[in-house]
Amino acid sequence: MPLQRREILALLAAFGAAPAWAARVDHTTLLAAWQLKDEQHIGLLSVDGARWSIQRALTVPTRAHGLWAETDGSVLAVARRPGDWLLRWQPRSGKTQWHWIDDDRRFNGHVIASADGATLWTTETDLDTAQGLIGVRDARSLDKAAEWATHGMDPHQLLALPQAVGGLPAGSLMVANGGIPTLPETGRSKRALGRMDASLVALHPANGELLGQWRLSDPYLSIRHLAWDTASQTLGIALQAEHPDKATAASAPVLAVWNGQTLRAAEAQTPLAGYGGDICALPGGGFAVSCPRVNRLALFDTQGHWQGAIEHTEAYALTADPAHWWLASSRSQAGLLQGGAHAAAPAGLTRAHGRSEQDLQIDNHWVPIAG
Amino acid sequence: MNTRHALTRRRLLAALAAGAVLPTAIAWAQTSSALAFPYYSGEQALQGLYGVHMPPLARAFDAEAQALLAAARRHCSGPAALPELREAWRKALLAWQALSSPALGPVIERRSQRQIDFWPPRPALLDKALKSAPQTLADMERIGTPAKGFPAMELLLTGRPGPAHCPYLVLIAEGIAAEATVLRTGFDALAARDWTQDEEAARNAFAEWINQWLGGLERLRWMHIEQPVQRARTAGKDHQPPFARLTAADNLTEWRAQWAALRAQARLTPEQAAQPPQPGQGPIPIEALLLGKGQIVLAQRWGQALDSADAAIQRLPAHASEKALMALSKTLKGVTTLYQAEVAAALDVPLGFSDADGD
Repeated sequence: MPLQRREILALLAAFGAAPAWAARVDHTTLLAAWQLKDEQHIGLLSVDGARWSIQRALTVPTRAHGLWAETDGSVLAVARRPGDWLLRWQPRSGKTQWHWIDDDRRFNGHVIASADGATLWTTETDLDTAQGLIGVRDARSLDKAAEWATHGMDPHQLLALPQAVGGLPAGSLMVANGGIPTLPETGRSKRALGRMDASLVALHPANGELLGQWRLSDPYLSIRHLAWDTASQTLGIALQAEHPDKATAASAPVLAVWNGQTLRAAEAQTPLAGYGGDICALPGGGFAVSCPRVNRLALFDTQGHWQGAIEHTEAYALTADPAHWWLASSRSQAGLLQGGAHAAAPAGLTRAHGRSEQDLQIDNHWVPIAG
Repeated sequence: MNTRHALTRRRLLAALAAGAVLPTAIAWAQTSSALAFPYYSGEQALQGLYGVHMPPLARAFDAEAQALLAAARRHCSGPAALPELREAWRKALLAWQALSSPALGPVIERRSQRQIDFWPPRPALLDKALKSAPQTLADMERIGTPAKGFPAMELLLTGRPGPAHCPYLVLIAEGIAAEATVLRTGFDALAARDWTQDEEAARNAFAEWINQWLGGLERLRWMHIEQPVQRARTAGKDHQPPFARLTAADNLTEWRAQWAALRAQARLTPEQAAQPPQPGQGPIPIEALLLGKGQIVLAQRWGQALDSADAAIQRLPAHASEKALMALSKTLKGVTTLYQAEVAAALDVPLGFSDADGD
């Protein structure tokens, strides 16, 4: 059952948020991707406590997925898998830089930059072998300089560890191998799911050397999205169930946690249709996973223990900074949920609505923009 | 409408009562034209697809591929005219598109699109392959796919292939012909299959068809038409769209061939509209499946969307502007959207990664 207001307040307090409804929430800019009518866009959304609006937007040829904010104010977007374009966009000037992938590779939907900004890493698939790759790219030109094996199929999101953990050096690349076999001949069909082999891998950021690989005991759980909880030094992983049996899929966990040593699925979770759309680490510790198929935001502690859920229509894109978290609905009329500040800058839980009647369908992910 | 053979519900029920060979537990959907469509099971749809529709396409491709090989050998054994070989290449290509749009059964299993139609070809790899002078198909296995198949042959035929190119031209044609023969054998095996004997296999094959039809449409719309235009647009001025074939006429002919193949699996022919396909006796297009499920309004909208796309692709000139190509892509996208949002769901088939999904 969804939580009542009283329970939500108690839950937020437990996560370090002060119980204040409609409290002050700073003005924020979020980089997002959305569909409006028949067109796909990326752009900047301006969000304050009660309203959000489109600040700048760029039409893109197909649906964007992963987004990345660069330090100079430009942004990166990559096409949803199987994707063929990578884009740099400077929102202020409108300048764009496009890169179309070689014909024997496809983007898998996510891109990140190295700490010094000189290198980009993209998740990709080799269309000949269906094996996963990390594309190592020159950040300036977007051209590929090297390829590293991800030691699995269908690599999706990746994340550079902000600190050393479990014997892995800071900067190690954590890659979610979704494990679903896909080939160009079958487009988006999911075939041979019996051969699924999802895993979490750690790669050395200098040369792609395999530093570690972890699997869940259930082979039908696809490992897809990642979020790092600094306080507990734990990686949260949003899962998507691919079980042939619908009942098993419906009750499958949507979260796994990795502490540098072991990878394990969430425990004692209520059924959430087996589909985690996005994940963020909460400012007060723990993880939130958006579950659009059951219209809920699922909350877990850092050990992956179920804490409860907040109802939100088609809960999808999710992100956080040290003080707040933001949750979109893929139906814009349902508004935006924001909250979860730490005790020093208290905020409660507020819903913001669009300034216009435009029916945006906000996509899976969004990213806060500094400044 | 051809009413001579039209079966009304009353006549069909009378036929049933007379013991005609039709399912006994049969449901009927009435169209606005008072024509009744029976409910078609997934097994019956597969029998129509693999038992009736695909085998002639596989045989036709095999025949054209053998003709291409013969033309290549003639060209290389004496002073045969190049236009004859080019025409044989074109006919084989169109027969291939008719068979592989969408990619089904053996085309998927053998990864035939990759084997004989990988594009764009890589001229540098082709030069390297020519220098390596392979002598047999076994030698060709060491050559990368971007230097083989229809696109590589087109590159060679666009220039003036000389004696030095000839052994390689014939080997490419041999590779296409060998693939065509294996595909024909594979589709013949599928034609003989009794889908009622394995419920799970039938369910998977039906879902694969419905998914692959969308994949075939998106391959045409995005990979062949819109993506090259978008690439050129984002590359700056004076960049030409990198379409699959080297001439505008060949591209247009190929797009129409792909569309015709997709349409044949999706839309009732005038004859079928007048006389519903009988289970087990003929192809059952997607429109018939909808009508058989009583989705009359959706079937009408589906037919209209297909007709709009058909008209758009038929009126496209060979040297179409980017604006015209983008308009065509938008019309085709309308078919995609309807299919993803309503048609597949009405057929009770989940789409692998539809636009309605996240990722």
